[in-house]
Amino acid sequence: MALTRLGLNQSINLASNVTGTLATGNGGTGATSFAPGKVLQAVTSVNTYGSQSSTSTSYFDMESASGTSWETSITPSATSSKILILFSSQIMGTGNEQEQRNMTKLVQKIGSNSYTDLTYQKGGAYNGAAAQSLQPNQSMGLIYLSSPNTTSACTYKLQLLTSSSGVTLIPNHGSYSTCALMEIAG
Amino acid sequence: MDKFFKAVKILRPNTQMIWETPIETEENFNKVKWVTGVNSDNEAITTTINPHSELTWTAVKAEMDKL
Repeated sequence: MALTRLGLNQSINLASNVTGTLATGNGGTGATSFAPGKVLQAVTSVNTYGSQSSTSTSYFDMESASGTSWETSITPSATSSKILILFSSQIMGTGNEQEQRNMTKLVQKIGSNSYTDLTYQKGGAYNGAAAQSLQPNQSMGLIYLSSPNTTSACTYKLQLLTSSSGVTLIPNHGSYSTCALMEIAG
Repeated sequence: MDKFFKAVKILRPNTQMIWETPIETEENFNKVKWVTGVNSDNEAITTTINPHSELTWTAVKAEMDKL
């Protein structure tokens, strides 16, 4: 192996004057393992569909187009990976009620299995005097670190409900919802 | 508030449904997902086959026209 001695202020072209494999830390590629905590990939999705309405007091899917559930997927590269899930949702509830409590739930599906619950948040409004027309806009931030233990596609969506069928829930009313999924090395 | 929502509430209070606004035509009315129950995960069970005889398009449209 020939060695070249570099003098002060001299440089060497790594691309043309060096053979062999560079360490990944020096810009080489082909790493097969990563330190825990490193972000390996990220997926984002924005939902601007504001034409859905519901009076359902049981969970229904937030849609991204007429009749299409808003689903966002990521496929982990290793079973040891974790998935950091970040959702921001925007919902308006409108109705002539004394109280409305509106739930937003984050659910996960692994491969072709059924969805399972991860976490949820509650919003809404209460008028102490009597029923009256209320239209609260509520922003929900749902964050969850999942350990799906799989290399199959992991799919996420939001489900909504209202506490009263006298309330109409309108997702993305004049605003939008966002999702970011990150695979974190385990 | 949405006229469709108001009309349904007048004709059949406490009806639960999921729809794409606005419901101004029979074609869109026939796409309404009516909630008929819940499963073990408290998720809505829906159908586009209207299970409510009092909520025909004719009746709903007539009520909407009064609003």
